[in-house]
Amino acid sequence: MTQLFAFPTECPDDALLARWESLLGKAPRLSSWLDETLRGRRAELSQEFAGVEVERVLWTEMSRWLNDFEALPSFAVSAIATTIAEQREPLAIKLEKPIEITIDSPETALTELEALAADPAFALAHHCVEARIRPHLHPLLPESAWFGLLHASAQANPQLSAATAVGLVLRVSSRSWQAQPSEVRRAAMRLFQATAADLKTSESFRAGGQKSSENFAAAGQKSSENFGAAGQKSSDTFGRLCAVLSVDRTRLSELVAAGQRLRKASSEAATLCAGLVARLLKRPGGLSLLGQDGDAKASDAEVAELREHARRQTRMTGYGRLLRLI
Amino acid sequence: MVTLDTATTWTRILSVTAGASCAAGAPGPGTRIRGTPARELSQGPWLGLVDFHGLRRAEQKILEAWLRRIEPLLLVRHLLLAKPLADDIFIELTPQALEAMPEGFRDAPRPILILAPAGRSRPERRREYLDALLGLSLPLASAGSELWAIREFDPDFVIALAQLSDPVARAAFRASLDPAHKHLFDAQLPVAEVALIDDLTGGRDEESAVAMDLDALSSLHPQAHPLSVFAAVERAHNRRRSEKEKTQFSARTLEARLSARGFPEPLRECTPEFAAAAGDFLPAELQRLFEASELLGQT
Repeated sequence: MTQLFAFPTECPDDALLARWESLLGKAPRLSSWLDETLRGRRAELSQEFAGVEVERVLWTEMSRWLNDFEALPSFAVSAIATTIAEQREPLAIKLEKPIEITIDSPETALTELEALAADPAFALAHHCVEARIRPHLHPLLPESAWFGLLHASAQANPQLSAATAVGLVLRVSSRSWQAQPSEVRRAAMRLFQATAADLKTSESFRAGGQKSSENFAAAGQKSSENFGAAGQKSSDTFGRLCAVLSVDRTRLSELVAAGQRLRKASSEAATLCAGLVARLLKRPGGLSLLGQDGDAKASDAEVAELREHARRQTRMTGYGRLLRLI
Repeated sequence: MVTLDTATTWTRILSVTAGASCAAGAPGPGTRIRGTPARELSQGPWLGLVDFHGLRRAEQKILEAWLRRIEPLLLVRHLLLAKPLADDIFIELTPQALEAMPEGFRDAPRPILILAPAGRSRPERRREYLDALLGLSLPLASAGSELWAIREFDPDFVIALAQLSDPVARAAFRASLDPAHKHLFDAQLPVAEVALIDDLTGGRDEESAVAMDLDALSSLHPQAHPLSVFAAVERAHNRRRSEKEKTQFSARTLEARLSARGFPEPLRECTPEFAAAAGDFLPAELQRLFEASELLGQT
């Protein structure tokens, strides 16, 4: 399986990065473990440190792990990665099937993904997802769930555009989510679409129904006398949806807030994609479809961010071609 | 013959086979509603009107030949084709459709799906659909705007695939590909064509907020036709969208906008009776469904 995996930013040493890439090349299984571990550590560290500092600490830890892994043969590294992954705490969301890509032929899937990733248009959309969406992923749901929910929230468009290219990256990155039972996906989608007003109605009811009529009006209904029944119903509905997903109910507000941030981030990713295309003098292949006249050009800082990200993406050949066009 | 940009077409083929849609809009007969294809929630096949307006003459020619070839594949997906629409809008079934249609098909109102090229037609074209179809005195179109809707397709992709169905054009295109991709092209082209035909009829439509409301409202009104339900859901969603995000796939939505009857639309609060009957919904979902349910009852 090709990993859509990104290292932490602010790498202090190019040699360290090269050693990790070499190790992951020999033991690809390790990358999914590393990805998940980094996300968990990043969430923990962000409670104590600022963003740049978090990335530095992550690199320090990765440096230590690397020495340990390099001392072992590659087959042992893969075996250890699998064992560690199996011993991890269960995800906050209940998944009836393990997170695996369930496609008829793994070889076909790999070939498709590699061919797609070889296109600079897809590489650009991937960068925009990494730069604008990934930083907002919340550990409460697996990465593929967030990507799948964002993909399902986007308006279907029959033509290839910056937004649909970003949507396609999200879709390809959420194959394991698509394999989840419909009941689980729908419950997650309803929670993802829930508004702050929905949450307030439910929470006010749980807190005793005080100060409720304003919140209820914000949720779309004005009659405070109906609040009691609706508040209870809303609270019960949230409870049932959380039960389907095995999400801790006390963390609902985090989930709803994360969903709102991600929807905004998804729109920003599409804007960035169109803006970067506007900076290209030549737009071969699919790139010609991603931009429109009048798109605001990306800033120099955004171009520099793309260059930096592309430099670290050695597995997706589309990045190399993209860099030559910038 | 239309000149194809190899890199662009190849990217588009791969994106479609990876899951990107090449037709979207109102439900088609293959769109799943409550887990069942819409064709099974309505009686008989749907009528498909492919709009050529906005396409160049060479493109029309290629598309016409391709439609003749794939028409049986649309028929088995419960879509009977009429002759393509050009400047004038009228309904005349193709010879294959006439042969395949069930008895009495033309004697009763049928769901009509207009397949329009995305980004090619003028905004006024939608008014022309409405005026022409409302003016027809055919039993087929007698249900009014309730049973008509639009699905848009990517014209460049459809024309590219139509052209690649010709062996000579296909060989030339294949020769222009990177050698490493030639084998993949052989495997992906038929997959892309099936994906396109499924997209035209809604067979690959995915989960979305609109689709979930469509399911919910259809459960509350199981006798209503999927296109009528979609019209109500689309309007309820449009009320919550910015002007740029509003869609106009349902003829009922178009009619409401053009007549200005829909602006401003009076909003009613969800009633306790509806809330009790609807079941397990959050307040915002409930209010949206209530509005859609009210719209469904309007003519």
